[in-house]
Order: sequence, then structure tokens, then C-alpha cells
Amino acid sequence: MAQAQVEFAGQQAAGRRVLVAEDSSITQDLLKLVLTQRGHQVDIANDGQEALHALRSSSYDVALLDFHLPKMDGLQVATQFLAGRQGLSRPLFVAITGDVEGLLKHPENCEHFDEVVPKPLNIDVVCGIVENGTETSGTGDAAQPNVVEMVKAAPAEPLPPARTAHAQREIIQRPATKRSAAERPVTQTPDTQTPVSPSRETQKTVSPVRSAIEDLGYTFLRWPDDFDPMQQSARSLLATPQPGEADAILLCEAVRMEDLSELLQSHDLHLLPIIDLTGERSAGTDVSGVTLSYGETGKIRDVIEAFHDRRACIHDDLLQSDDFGDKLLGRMFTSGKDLIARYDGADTGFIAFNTIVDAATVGLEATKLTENGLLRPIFFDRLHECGHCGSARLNVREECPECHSANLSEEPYLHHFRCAYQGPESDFRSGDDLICPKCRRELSHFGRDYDKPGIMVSCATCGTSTSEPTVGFVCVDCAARSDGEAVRTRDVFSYALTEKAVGYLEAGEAFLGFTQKSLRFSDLPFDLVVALNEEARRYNQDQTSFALLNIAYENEREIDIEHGPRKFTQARDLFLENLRAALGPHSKVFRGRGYDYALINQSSPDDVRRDMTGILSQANAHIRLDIGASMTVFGPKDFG
Amino acid sequence: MYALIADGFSYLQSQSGLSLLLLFWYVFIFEIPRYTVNFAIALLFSKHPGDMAPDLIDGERISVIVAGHNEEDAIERCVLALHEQSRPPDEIIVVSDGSTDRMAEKIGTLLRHGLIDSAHATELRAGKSAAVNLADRSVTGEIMINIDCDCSFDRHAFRNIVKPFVDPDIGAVSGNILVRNPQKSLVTAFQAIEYLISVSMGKQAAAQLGQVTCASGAFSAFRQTALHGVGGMDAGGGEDLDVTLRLRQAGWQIDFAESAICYTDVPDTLTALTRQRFRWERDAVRLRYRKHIDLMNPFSPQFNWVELVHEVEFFFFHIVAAIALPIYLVWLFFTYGDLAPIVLVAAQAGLVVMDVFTFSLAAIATPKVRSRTLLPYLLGYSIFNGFLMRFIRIAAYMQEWVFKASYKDTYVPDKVHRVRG
Repeated sequence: MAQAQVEFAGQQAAGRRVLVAEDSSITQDLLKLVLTQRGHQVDIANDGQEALHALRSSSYDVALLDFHLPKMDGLQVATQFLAGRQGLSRPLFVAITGDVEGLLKHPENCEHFDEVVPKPLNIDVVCGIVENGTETSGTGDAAQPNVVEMVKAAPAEPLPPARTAHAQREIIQRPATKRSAAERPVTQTPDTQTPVSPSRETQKTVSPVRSAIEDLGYTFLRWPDDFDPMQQSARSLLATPQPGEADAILLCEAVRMEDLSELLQSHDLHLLPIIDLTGERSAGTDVSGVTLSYGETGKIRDVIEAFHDRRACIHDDLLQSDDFGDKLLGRMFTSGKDLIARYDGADTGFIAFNTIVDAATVGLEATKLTENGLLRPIFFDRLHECGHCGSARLNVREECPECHSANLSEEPYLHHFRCAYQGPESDFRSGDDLICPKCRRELSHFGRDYDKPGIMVSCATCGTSTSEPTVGFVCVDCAARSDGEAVRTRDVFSYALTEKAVGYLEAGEAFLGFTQKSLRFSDLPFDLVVALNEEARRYNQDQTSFALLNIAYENEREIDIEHGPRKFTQARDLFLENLRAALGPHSKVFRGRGYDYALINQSSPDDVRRDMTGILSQANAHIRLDIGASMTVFGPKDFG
Repeated sequence: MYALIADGFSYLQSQSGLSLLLLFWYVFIFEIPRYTVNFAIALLFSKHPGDMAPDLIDGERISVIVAGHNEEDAIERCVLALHEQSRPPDEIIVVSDGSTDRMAEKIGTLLRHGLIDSAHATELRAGKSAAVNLADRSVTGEIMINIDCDCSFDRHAFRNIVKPFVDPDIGAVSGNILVRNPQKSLVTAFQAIEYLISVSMGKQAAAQLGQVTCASGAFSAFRQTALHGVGGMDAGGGEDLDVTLRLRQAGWQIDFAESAICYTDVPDTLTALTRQRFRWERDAVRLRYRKHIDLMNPFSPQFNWVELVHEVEFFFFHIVAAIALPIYLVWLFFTYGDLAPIVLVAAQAGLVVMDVFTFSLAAIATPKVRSRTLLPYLLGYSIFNGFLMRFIRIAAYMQEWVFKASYKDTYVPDKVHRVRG
């Protein structure tokens, strides 16, 4: 910022000369009234030109400039006034705006304004600035104006991330972590402490807890500070700290589920504890900072350490896996928590899990994992869902069996004994009397002339009456209606890790019975993928069939433990050699990481399945160790 | 004994025509005409013209009312059977009349499954009439078919029962009720014969003469304008006879569709049968000689010669014949002493012959019934019909006249008995 001295800085507060440039007459009057009452001299300018003129013709201590003024905006007023006045006295320039973001985006904004006061105005803040002034920094060349946030009626509404993120970095000082200063994110605060508006302290009730958390000495990835502010998605993670170095994720501000979900699925962030400081995601995160009191931050340490310990048990296969199922298992394992379903009205599926990925994705994956024996389902509830859009947010109501209207009202049936007329009471009602519509006799004695044998439900929409209204479901998301009997149901489960899953997490893919792993292209060796493409092309051209053998070794782990990995590799090599010989010239054998493969040309999968026993016994010949080889056969149709 | 039989036989042989007439006066007065009339009419009009009539014009809605009390077991099968009709009804309305079983729940399920169109369940029993009236409010069709829950229907029953309505003067059509359980007992076998002869063929004959007086409560169809014109069903038992008499008085013609066949289970014990017939006969007497006595009064504006025919027929062949039977028996034994049984056996033999003729004709007219299996029972039918039923009638009439027993029928709730006419 240009070197400048604010004249009144450090002076006595009373009797300031204030210019108010504001096009709203209400704001003008308000500011003038309040400031005048407090002994200040106030001039009003209705537009930018008037303001500039006033500034040039008189001397002011403070200029409150609306950022959006007619004819010339507040920034232009300040810029033009300051042009060629280096070193001369100048008023304190205070921008008043409802668009903090717009102001901050402006290339020149930081140069000239000393304070920014957001609208709607907090008159105490304005008075504080007018009376106390703010000593502008003479050293910071990249200094930005102080953003004075308004104290609003509780609870304080957080500004949208894009607006506040930038500004907040300047206000809240980041405590040191265990990393060196050089490693700190570029958003580190300047060394000089930026003054904080007095109101600020009262508003940020979580701040002491956050400070205490950050003082624990761990490396935190902060949302949104450590993410690119322009894009704010996990994909745009800033360079430092690297995910591998972080101990936990700290949610400092409100975040969308999608962003969080992406956060989990990128890098290995899914294995970090998530600490929520906003109170909005507490159900899906590991610790809620909001409910912690100042002295309880030790709990955070416990959680982070528990994550550390469990993460250390996870096999590399799982740590490096890009498979969402593996990530989910890893997350459950490190967090030490089952996947617990709960009701969530905000979601169309009506269900959320105690994780930060949407329930539909989790549910789908968990079903697959259950089929593979890795998760154990625990019934939670049976939901009804819309046959049209799938939403489980349904309004259940009694409705007319004829027109499906819910506009039903109840009325007693009335039975006239003498003539056997039976109908709703309204048929009989004639003023205060009950007159039988059939025989015109008056019904005067309940129990003798008539009784009320039941309740009739009448539809005000179509006039139908029945004693048996039907139950209907209306989707609150797409308004589609379904009959109570016909509405689709979906069972929702919570999930717990099975022993098998724990074995898989600790020992990697070798632990699994390989056939249970479905064939995934991403797992196939590259040259096999090329060869498969060629076979697929041929199959599409002239229906030449082929068969792919997926070879799994069940006893790998046992042999590793008992005889060492070298023995297993030798046995596996020999097995593949034998297999090549057994399958003959129309085949290729591919060596994979966990599995091996064989591609057989011009053979149908069914033929190969028939010969399977023979192939296996030939391939196992001369191998002393039982490697537990098994083969799954896939044909062209499996790649549809 | 043999000598007695031989004496009796030779005595009968020796009689002249006139003395035989005097001897068998009861048979000649009360039995022969009834058989002859039926026989002659059935022979003359063996095919009912209604059968040739085209189906109702498309678009004519048919509504069915099923009103039942504690029919949890029967209602579902009944409704499903309605959907099996070659002319399925356009609308099915079911009333659970104060059922204490799970009938209300059942009809709710049927409604939700779309098998019925309207369901009403009351918590207090109001009787069949009120239940039908309640359902009738919701009827949208011009033809309303009223059925009993425990009946089952021939595939074409509905198609056939609505055919006569092409004639705009027809106000109601009675279906042809046959017995579903003739093998159950001797009593049901006799009733099967009775239904075939007197209900099936008797009503065919009556229809030819415009004298159908009861559109059966188990299965009949009504033109809604006609039914509404007479105010629907009235309180009390025998509402089917009552509403038919009122429709007739209002000028509507009642038809009988013999090809609209409905099967029902009849009482299989003598006690149950007696109880049922007591109810029927009491209701008939109450309705004809109390509620609709005007039909017999030449000075009443309600008086009509056509109505007098069936009134007289009923009076003569039901009431007088029943009362005359004990008189005849007393006279016979008093006059002929030991010969009386022989005379009675001879009379029965003659009646059996007539029964065989009539039954054969009825069987031809209603080929649906497996009449051959019923043939052996014809030997005893005249005893069942000529003696047993008549004594039951006498008892019922006495009970009604003296004790007004129809007002105590459990078939109608007490609250209704107390106030109805």
C-alpha cells in the first residue's frame, strides 16, 4: 500500500470529520444521525463525483464510501483522490459494500481502502472505525483491507466459502504445526498480526477449540484453506502438505457432500480422520469439534492415533488400490466403525451412512462387498421408494380408491330401521332434524329409530364414499403416485467388516479366494488387454469365440509363510510353463500381479470348462507344492 | 298284511271314475292341477324367448352388489368368480354388514387389489335390506345384480340374466337357482328335485304367465330406475319377495332367466331345512297378508286382477292345500279305516308317475343339472314334498298367525323387528 499516514491515528476519538458517500438516503440519514449524535461532523455525498469534490475541497478524517456509487464508484473516488498525493495526509478510506467478494476481486482494491465494512451495516462497527481509526500497515506491500464481518443475529450465518475463504485467511492466524515454516501452505498469514474486529471474537465460538486442536502438533489438511480456492475441489489439492504427510482433515467451513466425497476418493485421504469444526457434517465425520469443549481436544489425539495404528495394519494392496470397494473397507477399518445407516431427510434415498460419501454409492458398493463375503449386513429398515424417480421421500396418505384424492372426510353411516335406508348422516340431515330420505319419517330416537353402524369415508373431490380408503404413496420429489400395495420397497442395511475382510485388509489380495474377485480390466496386464481387444474385434467380425482363463492361487499366502516367496514364485512359474504346454499353440499365457491369465483362441468357454480338470492336472504336473491353483473361464459374452 | 294289500288293490280296481275322484279328492284338487299347469306350460313354451334375445347393448353398465355378514371365508372366492363371468360386471360393490369376523379386512384387501370397486364395512349389523340399500347408493350401472356371497355362478349367468332387460318393461329378472350339494344327504337330494321342478320349471311357467312373484335374493337383477322407483329394499325378512311384489305393483314386469344359473348350498339336515322353510313361509304370509293385503282387496287402489292370480294361486295351493291335508288324512282314516294306507300308497304311486314326467321335462329344460343321479330319489319325493313340506308349512303359518314369529327371526336384527311394518 502507498505510504500514508492517517491523520487522526492515535488521536483522541471525538469530533471527527466524516464524509459519507452513499446513494441510499436511508443509510445516509442513519449514518448522519448516529455519527452526529456522537459528536462527529458529517458531510453527505450522493454520488462519486460529489464525493471526490468534497474530498478535494475539504479535509476529512474518515471517508465512508459506498463501493457502488452512481457516476463513479467508491474505488475510483479513492484512486483519483489519492493520485499524486503520496505522503500527504489522507482520510481513512472505508469501503461499504454488500459485495465483499466483488471488491476483493478488483485489482486495485487493496491499494486504497483501509477497511471494508460489509452491508448490512453494523453501526457499532462503523462507529468503532470512525472513532478509533485503523492504523494502516506501512510495511506490508501485499496488504489487503481488513474485512469487518458483521455480527448478525445468532447463529452467525457463514458466508459462502468463495466469499469468506479468502478474507478469513487474513484474519485468523494459523498456529504452527509440526512442519517447518517453509512447508506451510502459501496461504500462511503474514507475520504481522492483523487486527481483528472486536466483534469477531464473539462470533467465532469454535476458534479456541480449533486453536487447541491445531496446537496438538499434528499436520492437518484444512478445508478449504489447503485446497485451491478457485475450484475448491479435492482434485485441486494444493501442494502442501502432501496427503501422505497429513494426519487428519480439518473441516473449517461448510462443505458440500460432493466435494467431501471426492476428497475421500482421491489420493489416500479416505484413511484420514475427518474432524468437523462446522457442526454441519458431524454425522459423517469422525470427530465433531463443535461438541468438544476446550479441554477435550485430547480426544482428537486419541482418534488420530487410532487411525495411525490401524492404517499401519493395512496391506499395500489396499493402500494403493483405486477400487472404491477397497477404499470403503479401508475407511471402515481405519475408523474402527461399522458402516451405520441412519435416516437423512436431506437425501432423496432417505438414508445416509456415517461416512461422507452419498448413501447410494455406498449402498451399491456395500452390496457387492457383501456378496463377496467382505461385509456382513445388519438389517436397518425397509424403505418404500418411488417407482418413477427412486426417491424414498414419500408422503403416505389415505386416499380415495376411485380418484386417489386425499381430500377425504369421515361421516357416520346412519341406518333407519323401519325402512332399511342406510347412508351417510348428511342424507338424513335437515336442519336440526334427521329425516329419512326414503320414507320421510323423522328419526327421533337413537337406538330405537336408527343407529350409526359405522364410519363412512367420503371423497370431497369425486364424491365417492367407502369405508375402506386405500393407502397411497406420493413422491415428494417427482410427485408420482403409487398404490400402497404396489409401491417398491428397498431394504437398507448397516454393514460390519467380516473376518475375511479384515484378513483381506491386512494381507492384501492374496488372502482372497481369487475367484470371488470379479474380472477387472484395470487389473489385467497391458499386453493381455491388447490381445483381448484383438479377440473382441474378431468376435464382433465373425463370431470367432475365445476363452480367457483367470488363474488364482489360493495357497500363495501359506506357501509364502511356510516356504518363503521365492518357492511360491518358482512353483507359479512352473505352473504357467506347464499350462502353456497343455493349452497348445492357440493360446497365450500372461503373467499378472495377483492373478495370471491365459487367452485361448478359437475355443468356446464351454469347451474349455469341460476340459478344465484335464488342463489343471497337466499344469500341476511336477509341482511339489500345492499352490491351490484354480481357474475361472470367461467368454466373449462376459465382456459385453 | 298281504291280504290287506290285495283287498285294497281289488277295492281300488272296482271303483268307478267318480268314486275314485271322491276317494282321491285331495290329489285331484291340489296336486293334479299344479302338475298339469306346469307340465302344459313347460311343454308349450319349452324355450324362453328371452334366451334368443341379443346381449344388452354395449356400454350398459352392470353393477353387482354382494352384501354379507361374517362371510370372511366365502367373499374372496365369490369375488374372484365374478371376474370369471363371460360378461364380467363393470362394478362390484361389497358390503360387510356388521361382520364380527375378518370380512371387513378381506374386502379392504380386495379393494386395494382392484378386484372390487367399492367396499363398505359397518360395525353393527343392519340386515340384508339395509346393507343392499347402502351399496345401492354407490351403484353406477343401470342394471344391478344382487347376489349372495355363498352362491356360485355359471360362466354365462350374468350374460343371460341381463338379456331380458332389452324389454323396457322388465323391472327385475330372477336367476335360476339350483342345488350345489344334492349328494350331501337325502334332504339335499329332495331339495335338488324340488328346486328343479318348482323353482326352475315353476318359475319358467310363471314367467310365461307374467306371474313371477319373487326375484330370488340369492341371484337376481334389477333395473335401477325400477328399484329406485319403489325405494329400494324394505326392512325385514323376505325382502326379495317384498321388493318383487312392490315392483309388480308399480307396473314393472318380472322375468325369469332359466339359463342364468346359480348354484347354492341348501340345508343338509331336516332341522336346518325346517328352520329355513319356517322363515320363508312366515315371511310369505306376513308379506302377502299383512304388508301387501291390499292386493287381495278389490276396493283398494292397489288392487289388480293380474296380482290376484298369484295371490289366489298362493292361497289355494299353499295355504288351503296345507290345511286340507290333515283334514283329508283324518277323513280318509275315519272313512276307510285299514284301507286308508293303501289309498295313500296308491295316491303316492300316482304322484310318483307324475313326478317322473314333470322331472323329466324339467331336466330337459335345464340340461345343466345331472338329473340322472336324482332319479332314484323321485320315489320318495312326493312324500317329502306332499307331506313333509306341507306339515312344515302348516306349522309355520300357525306360528306366524298366532305368534307373529317372523318378528323374532334372527335373520333380521332385533332393532329392525321392533319397528318395521
